[in-house]
Order: sequence, then structure tokens, then C-alpha cells
Amino acid sequence: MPLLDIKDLTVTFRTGDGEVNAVNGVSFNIEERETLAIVGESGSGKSQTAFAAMGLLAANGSAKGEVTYNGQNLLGLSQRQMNKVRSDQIGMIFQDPMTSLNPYMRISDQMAEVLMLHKGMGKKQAVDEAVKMLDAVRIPDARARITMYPHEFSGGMRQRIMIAMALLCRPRLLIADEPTTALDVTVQAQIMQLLGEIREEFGTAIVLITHDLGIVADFCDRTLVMYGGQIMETGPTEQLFERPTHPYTLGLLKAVPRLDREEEVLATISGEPPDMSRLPKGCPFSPRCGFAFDPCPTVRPDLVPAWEGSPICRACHAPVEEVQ
Amino acid sequence: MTDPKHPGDPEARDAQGRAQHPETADPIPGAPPASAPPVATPPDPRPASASPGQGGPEDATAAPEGIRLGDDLGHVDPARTQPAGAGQPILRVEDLKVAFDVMPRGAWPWTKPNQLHAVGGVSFDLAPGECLGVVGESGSGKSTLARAIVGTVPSTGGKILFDGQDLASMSPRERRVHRRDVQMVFQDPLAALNPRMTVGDIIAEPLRTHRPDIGRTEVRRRVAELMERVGLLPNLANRYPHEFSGGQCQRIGIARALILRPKLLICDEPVSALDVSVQAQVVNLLKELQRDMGISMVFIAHDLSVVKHISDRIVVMYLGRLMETAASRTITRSPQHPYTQALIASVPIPDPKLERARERPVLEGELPSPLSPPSGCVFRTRCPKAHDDCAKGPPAVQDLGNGHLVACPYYKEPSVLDRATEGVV
Repeated sequence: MPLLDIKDLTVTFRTGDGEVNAVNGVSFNIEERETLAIVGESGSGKSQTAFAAMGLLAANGSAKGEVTYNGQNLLGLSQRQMNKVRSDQIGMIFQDPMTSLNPYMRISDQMAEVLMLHKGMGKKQAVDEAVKMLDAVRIPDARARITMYPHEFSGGMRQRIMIAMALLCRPRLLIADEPTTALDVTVQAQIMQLLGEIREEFGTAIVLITHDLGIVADFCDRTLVMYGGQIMETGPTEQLFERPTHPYTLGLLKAVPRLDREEEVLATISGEPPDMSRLPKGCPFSPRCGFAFDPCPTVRPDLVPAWEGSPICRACHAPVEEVQ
Repeated sequence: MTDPKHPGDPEARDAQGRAQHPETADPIPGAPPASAPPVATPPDPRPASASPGQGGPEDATAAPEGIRLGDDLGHVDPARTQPAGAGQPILRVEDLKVAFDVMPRGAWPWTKPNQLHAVGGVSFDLAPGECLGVVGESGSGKSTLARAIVGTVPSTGGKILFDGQDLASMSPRERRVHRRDVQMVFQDPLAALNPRMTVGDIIAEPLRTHRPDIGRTEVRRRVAELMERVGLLPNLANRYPHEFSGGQCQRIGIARALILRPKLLICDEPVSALDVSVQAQVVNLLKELQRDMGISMVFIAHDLSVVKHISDRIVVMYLGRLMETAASRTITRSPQHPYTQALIASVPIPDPKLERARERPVLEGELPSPLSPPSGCVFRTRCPKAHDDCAKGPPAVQDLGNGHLVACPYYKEPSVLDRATEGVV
């Protein structure tokens, strides 16, 4: 049984322009100890998928479908039950550690609060546990620094604190939403190395949400590519990167300038990112797609194996051979 | 590339010309005659000004007369037409220092402020038509460097010579010309545009300010032409910035920067706020415009892959100091400074096989505070090659030839970082 099973998830926001579907019928699962990447550009619905699963949608948003964790549908849970699942079962790391940490609280208080609430620990024991966790994420001199405020730490250190906090209750699943986007590359390398070690040490399954194809290549077992609120392609990272079967994945991989390549002109995907309130009825990528033909704008393609028995699933009308 | 050998032959600038230099990205120096005309160009700019109009194959359909924006060449003041002279850099930065006053926490108003050295002694030359990339992490002083070149931040030491003229000693009149010749493209495209002005007005504003002699119809014509050139529909000129996507806003920012036909374009993280697919479009556009219009460019970014792609030469900065500078291919293929090596090791490559086989020595620690930088070599606190005497004074700059400078006397010593480029080359 998969650890987390998402079936036909749709996230809708009520806005001034009417209802907007940020996520549109997305299904996937993640196994115990697996690392899954959700890749996409801004507005692709990758973060909202995670927010919906965690019950963190904005007030004007609602989610339909099924999010099954441990046999329990998370979408039907009350706020109180959901609080128990969050951090106890599923931890989350956000993009900007400064806005996710409470600037008025000492790190010790913020971290101890989690343990006192969820594990019923006393303050002293909770702080001791927090120090241990800060040591685990390699914050030097954790015992002395735990009484400091968030602004006294650098960006990389703050992200380490966020990771430590998410791990306090030893969740089986960690959702990391763009954990390194706000950080410099050398610090990004440190944080990714740390997440890798944590994965080994705690046996945590990780969902890594990112737009950076580089860190996915190194870190994730399986990759899921989203565009316009839908899954375009999913499969084992290595195969997906080597021979993408979807025009969008192909375009994305070609558009990234690479350190190891010399191109005179970068391949581009023509056009602009989609307007989510005016998506075509069919494939959301069809207006920008070089392979688009008759059915694409009107008939939504199903996410099916690229060929008989293939681990790669794709949602595209164009034949695989043509795209590859 | 620092020593341009091509005469600014207008013929070499058409579509075929570009195809002839596919790999080397050789800039054709000083091509549009007004900006630093090379010796061979006829003094009368009019006939030559049409030549860039043959821009590239794409222009033929999109904007037939796309780049004849240089029509203002007819009435240029003498300062602009003075030839830069062969081999003379358009921009020379000599030991530039920029410091800011920072009041310590809880200090009295009369306490002497601390000095934050954002840029601490940086030197480089920029040849006409060249694109110089500046890479560094946050706090490396790259944006301050850009601001100092534009003149919005006063330097506290050293010199900035633009077209041989010292920025600090310019008269107000000369400064106005300088502002016209040096334009900037900013990081956040939406924040850089006035939300209450139409796009057409935003693009036209520099022209109206600096060239009040140009009539209204002419302004409108130039705006439409340039909008087409940067890939915007000219009939969108009456819309407001919020109606455009991030990529389109950046195109507007680029159009605004180019309307005066500057000699030097400073791009400060122009694509870091954009999505990958749009980023590629904007990078291609900038590269194409830079070459077609013969503009010199300083391209600042934290993403080494992007910088490498667009630049002829790269300057690597760390904590306000220059670590290494070389041709961009040399920087990525055989970096010599330990920081450059670490930077390359940290950049992930979207190729699982390569990436998993790659050895990636991770640089320990974080950027020290610029308020109290390490003595001597600022990188020594994180450097695997650090020696005791690295703390004593600034590192001696090693000249490896071909403009390859390394600010590390121990660069030859072996270290874990030597394998940083394995698999990348």
C-alpha cells in the first residue's frame, strides 16, 4: 500500500474572475522511503497540490478528490484531526524560511512548542530534544544558539532550522516546497546533501516540489511533471530525463542552459505560461506545443503508460515515436 | 576576445555573418557606428546605420526595419561621436571600492558608523561589443558594482572610466550623456515598471527625457518599432504593466533600456525571476540584441549556467572581491580558483546519470559578514587550500595569460575541488 495516495485531486479557487482550477484531476502516489519530485513552472499547480493534501489551502480554495494517507482520507478530516497528522505524520518545509518561522519567538520556544503539543513533553525535555535535532541538521553550537531569534540566523541556517522542526516528530513523509530556491548555490548544495542524509538516517519519504531540474536529477527516484494544473508526464527520473516522451518535458529540458553544454541559441518553448482562468478544454500545453494537432485543444489526453509495460506515463495525443 | 581583430565590417553583421561565428560567440566590436565606431567605419553614420537593420533572419518577418533605431545618430553631440580608438575598452574599472556606512546596533547618533565594503577593489576592462558576465552569490557585491557603473551609487575609491572618461570627474552635462549611454535592465520586471503608466509611455520616457527634440509621431514610431523588435505586439502600447506576464514585462524593461541606443547595457539578474521556458526566450533575445546592435553588456547573475551561455568573459566575485576572471569557456572548463571550482561543483546539471556519477565536494560554511570580512583573502575561511599567510594580505593575482587572472597564489596545489569539473567538460 502506498504511503500517500492522491486520486483525482482538483483544487478550485473562487476569485474575482470566477472559479479557477489550480489543480485539475491529479492522481499519483508515493511509496514508503521513496523520493518523488514534482516539477513545474510557477502556476503549474505543484505547490497547491501539496497544500491541498496538507489542508493548507487559502480560505477561498477548496479541494475535491481523495488524499489517502495510511488508509485515512485527509480531505475529510477536521482541523483538529488534521493538526495531528501534520508534523506527526507529514512534515513540511517551505520556500522562504524567514516567513515561515515566527520572528517574535525564540527558536527554542518554537521548536519546543511542537513537541509539547504533539508528544506531551515537558518544556525542558522538549528543548533537549530540539537541540538534538538541531545537531542532526548540523547547526554548530546548537545548545547555545537555540535561544536566538530567527533573524539572527543566515538563510541557510534558517532553512536547517525549518528542516529540524519538520523532523521533530519523526514524520514518515516530508514535503519540501522549493526548499532551496531562496538560497545560494553553495548553500543549496549543503541543504540538498543534508536532506539526502536525513532520508538515509530517518527513512523518510520525501516529496520535493521544485522548478530546478538540476536538483531533481541528482536527488529523486521518480519525477512528475506538471503544467497548467495537470500531470504531463511521470516516471523514473533517469528514464524521464534521458528520453522524455512528452513535448513539454522535452522543451523544458532543452530550455535549461547547462554548464556542460555549449549552445549558441537556447531552445525555447514559444508563448507564455497559461492563464489558469482560460485554459483550453483539452491539453493545457496545446497552445504552446509544436506537436499539437486536431484533438489537442479540445480533448484532454489521459495519463497512460507511454507504451505497453512502460514505467513512464504520459498525457499526450501525439505518438511517442514522434516526440522522441 | 578582449582584443577584437575584426574590423567593424557592417557586412559581417547580417544573417550569414552571424552564422559564420556559431560557436565562438565572437562579438563584432563596436558595430553600430555611433557607439564607438572602429577605425574602418566611414565617419558619416547615416549609410552605416542601415546595416544593422538586416539584423537576422527572424527580423525579416517580424520587424523589417527593426533596428533602424539608431536614426538619432544624425544629431549626436561631439562627445558621442569621438572614436574610442582601437583596442580601447568602453568601460574600465580600476580598483573600484564602494563602501556603505552602517550604524552599529544601539549606537548613538554621533557614533562613527561602521563601514560595509560592498565592493573592495575590483578591476576589469570591457571591450566594445563584448558581453562580460559577473557571477557571485548574494552579498558578493555584484549588484553594487552595477549601480556604481551606472552612477547611482558613489564609489569610495578607485576609478570607473567610461569611454576613457572618469565617472567621478564628469560635469553635469557629461553625466547626462553618460546616463543616456549606459542603461540598465532590472531583476524584478514588474517592480521596475511604473504601474500607472502605459507600456508605450514607459518605453518612450527615456527618449522624451533625453531627446526632447524628437517629435511625438517619431517617438511613437520608434516605440512601436522597438516593441516589435523585442517580441511585443505594438498595439499593446496602451496597456498597463499588470496586464503582462513576467516574461513580457522583462521585454518591456529591455525595450525601455534600448530606446536610447545605449553603448553599454547593464543587466542585473534579468532572468532570475522568470520561469525556465520564458528565461530561455529572454536570454536568447538579449544575446541577439546585444550582437545585432553591437552593444557592450555587463550581465550580472547568480546562475553560472546562464552567465556562461550569454557571456564572452566571466568575472567571479566573492564578498566584494574578484576571485577569477577568464573567457567563459575557460571558467567552466578549467577553473583555477578554489571558489570558482566550488561554485561549479555546486551547480546541479539536469542529467541524472551524469549528476549521480559526479563528485560534488560541498563547500562548508557560509558567506562571512561583509561588516567584518576575513583579513587577507576573504575566501580563506571556507577554502580547502587555505594557508597561514592567506590571512596576512590580499592574495597576489596570478596572470595565466589570455586575460585569465586568478586571485590565489596556491591555485596549483591539489585539493578536493580539482575534480569539481569532472563530468562537466
